[in-house]
Amino acid sequence: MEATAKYNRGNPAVKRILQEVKEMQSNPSPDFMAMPLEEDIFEWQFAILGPRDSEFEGGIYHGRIQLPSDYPFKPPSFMLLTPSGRFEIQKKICLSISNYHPEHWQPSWSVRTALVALIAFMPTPGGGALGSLDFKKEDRRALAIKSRETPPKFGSAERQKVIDEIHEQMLSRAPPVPQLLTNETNEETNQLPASDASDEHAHKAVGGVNTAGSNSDSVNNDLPRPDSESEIVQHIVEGRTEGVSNHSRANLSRENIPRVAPTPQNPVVAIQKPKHDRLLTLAAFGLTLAIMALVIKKFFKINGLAGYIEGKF
Amino acid sequence: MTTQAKEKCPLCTEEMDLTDKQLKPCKCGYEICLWCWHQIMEMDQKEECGGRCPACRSIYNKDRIMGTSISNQMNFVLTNQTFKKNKPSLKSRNQ
Repeated sequence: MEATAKYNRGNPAVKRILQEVKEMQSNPSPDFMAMPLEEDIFEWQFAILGPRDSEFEGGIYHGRIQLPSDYPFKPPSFMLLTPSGRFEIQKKICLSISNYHPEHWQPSWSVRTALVALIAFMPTPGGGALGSLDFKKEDRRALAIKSRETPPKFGSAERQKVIDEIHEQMLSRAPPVPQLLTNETNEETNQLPASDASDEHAHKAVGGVNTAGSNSDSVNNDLPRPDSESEIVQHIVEGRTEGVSNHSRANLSRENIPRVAPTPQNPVVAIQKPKHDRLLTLAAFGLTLAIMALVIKKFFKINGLAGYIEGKF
Repeated sequence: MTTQAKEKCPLCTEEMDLTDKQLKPCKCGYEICLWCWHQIMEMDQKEECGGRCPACRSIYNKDRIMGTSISNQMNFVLTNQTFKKNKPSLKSRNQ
């Protein structure tokens, strides 16, 4: 209570950090522990346990978190203090949750989520990132055993006090390094954690193709037909004169017969259509006359009414 | 006084008032206060990193959010005018 009274509660970052401190103390986690300095609430000291089923198991790794003044809208920076074979010591590490990549940071994250992510990053390959190392498994295991013996020494006396306090509490929680299972774990292959795939929804608009077919019928006159027929016959004769034979002559004689037959039917059809058109024309003309008559009647009625009104006045 | 659960902004842990509650910035339902939303949008303008919902990472549609806020204010004013004696019961519309 007295300690919290010191800080400027008007600052939204301070209020958020105090909220996280209370949440950390009320819901402690067996995998990590973190607390801020009394002097500066923006600097935290933390310790994480090595992830299970890995060469880091049983190790206690200390570090420091520096929160920005714009927290939680800006990401914090992380620095490891205990040698682990995965991260360099006393050097800011490059992660998607650190201040090297502010575009990946989310304001809804907190120190707790950052530490969980840090534990999850331990078994992954460094990939040459800033502050990352790729030691052998045996070396990492040796460093894990060594990390339990003494806490790292860093900074002022107050910081060292916080580090020692955290180390003692972590020792009481942490299980010992599994030394007997050394041979079995060497045979096992490390499984990399599955990366989260981000799905992007693409909106596809399928346009339907409309097919509009229009058929127009045209009526041919009787006069040019004999000319076209004679031309067709001439082409056939020219084509077949090259191979002279009785069969070709018979085919010619047969083909001529069906061409002559439909010719008398066409004039009949041609004669009927003008009659039908004339009937339609007469009907249209009649309708036009009827419409004109109605319009004239209305016109006279209007004039009559106007005269009646004028008569009144 | 209506006995409602006092909601707090998950980012700045401040109590959200009526204006903050009417702000519906994202479809996923994650609600933040107006000040934090303004901080996120301001940081997006400065450094072009962010402007996203802290929960689902979808980009905030500023025009839609502002329109929604104005619509809610109009609704509030109308409700308040209609029932001057009774306390207005706010019904926020999800557009």
